[in-house]
Amino acid sequence: MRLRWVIGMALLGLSLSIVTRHAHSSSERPLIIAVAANFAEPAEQLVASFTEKTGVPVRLVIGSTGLLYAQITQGAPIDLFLAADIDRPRALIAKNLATEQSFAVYARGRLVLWVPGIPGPPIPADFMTAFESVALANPLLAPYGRAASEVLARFPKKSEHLRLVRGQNISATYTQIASGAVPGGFVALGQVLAQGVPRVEYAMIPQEWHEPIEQALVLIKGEERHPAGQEFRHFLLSENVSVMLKSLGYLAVGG
Amino acid sequence: MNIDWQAFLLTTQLAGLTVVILLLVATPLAWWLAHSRRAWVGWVEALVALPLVLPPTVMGFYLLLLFAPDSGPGAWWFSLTGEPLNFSFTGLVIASAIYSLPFATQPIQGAFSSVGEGVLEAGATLGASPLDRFFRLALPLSRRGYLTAAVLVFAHTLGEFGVVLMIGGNIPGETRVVSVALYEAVETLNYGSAHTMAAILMGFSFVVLLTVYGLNRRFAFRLGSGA
Repeated sequence: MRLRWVIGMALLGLSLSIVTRHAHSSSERPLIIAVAANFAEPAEQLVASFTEKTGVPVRLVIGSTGLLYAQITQGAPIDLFLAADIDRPRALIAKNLATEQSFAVYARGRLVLWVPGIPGPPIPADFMTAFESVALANPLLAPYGRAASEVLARFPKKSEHLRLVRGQNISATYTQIASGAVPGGFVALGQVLAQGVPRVEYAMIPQEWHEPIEQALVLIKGEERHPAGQEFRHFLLSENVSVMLKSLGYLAVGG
Repeated sequence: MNIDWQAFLLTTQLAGLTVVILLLVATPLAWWLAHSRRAWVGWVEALVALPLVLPPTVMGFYLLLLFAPDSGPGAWWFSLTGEPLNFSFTGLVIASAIYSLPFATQPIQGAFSSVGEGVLEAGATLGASPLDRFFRLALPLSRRGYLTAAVLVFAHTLGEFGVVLMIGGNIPGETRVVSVALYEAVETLNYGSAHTMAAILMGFSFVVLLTVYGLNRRFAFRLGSGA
């Protein structure tokens, strides 16, 4: 009977592949770094040059800062946490899950107003009066969103009619603008640089218009933590890296 | 552009294993639900259907707490095996089995119910033991229920996202399934990879479903022509 044969082969293949899966997993453990999605691209470049320099294999776990935080509190096997804010690393320290001395701001983000298809760099106040809706990350969840809402609050009269399209995070906001669903909105400089958005389509938001967008890291506590976590932290805070981060759209932190 | 083939392999393993486990678990459960006359059957039936109601991320969050190695079932598992359930392939399999339980139980229960007491009683009067009646009568007559259950569970596990994202932790080769890899590609603005992976997932799923339904038609034909 053909069906039996099909099922039999499927089961055989399944069990073989699962057995070999476990045979593979016993090699030397890589350094595991949890990284906020907005910093994933720079992190991948940094990891490549770190591994080249030290020979230490690194595995990136990408997610939203809130989700990664919840997972770390539930014992996720993570050595180093690169968050998108400073609150969650602090909370881990308060919970005694991360070492206090390891806390450091590794990057400062820059906010831009991006309006695809515009002939010249957008002027925030003009944009607000000209359009009906604006995209920003949810201010309650994302640091870039909080900064964007502070910018809007500087123009209470001009922004009161605006429909605020809140993305789950800065990536969702980017997607909403890129797809044309919203005429424009507030995203990260790192994103427009990485995606090659033409310079005329975005305007840098002056830093004094909002609280700094700081991203902090912490080393996670535990006996099984990878010793190279400390090494990567030093590498990330080094002079060379801060020059590289600057070219990727982040402000130098100096440290 | 990078396509995460490892994620495709892992997803197939997860879905396949979940199907095998759920068919084994759902069989006695569905039999009992179909034949028991106890007053509280309805309670169990409702309980089995609950995963349909809860949003996957919410369920994933509670599983994350339940699987944590410091208390409850997670602690028991940890003391037994020395490995935490969260962020492991084993944890994903268990979570998928819980999440897809109604998709396995309901079609099989329906199939068992439609076999009818008459056929089983006829078997009994001809001297078939209860086990004989189950394996020779009820099971072959319920083949289509099993097929439906297997397809639903497999497809549901392929597309599962919320639970896996919560308790899996997106670890390559261990818990990064296709849906999570796809989401990550979108999150990191790698739209090219995302489109390709979505297309492969759709194509693969379509071929699997087409094959299964093709087999199902032949099945029906054979049964209809006097099996």
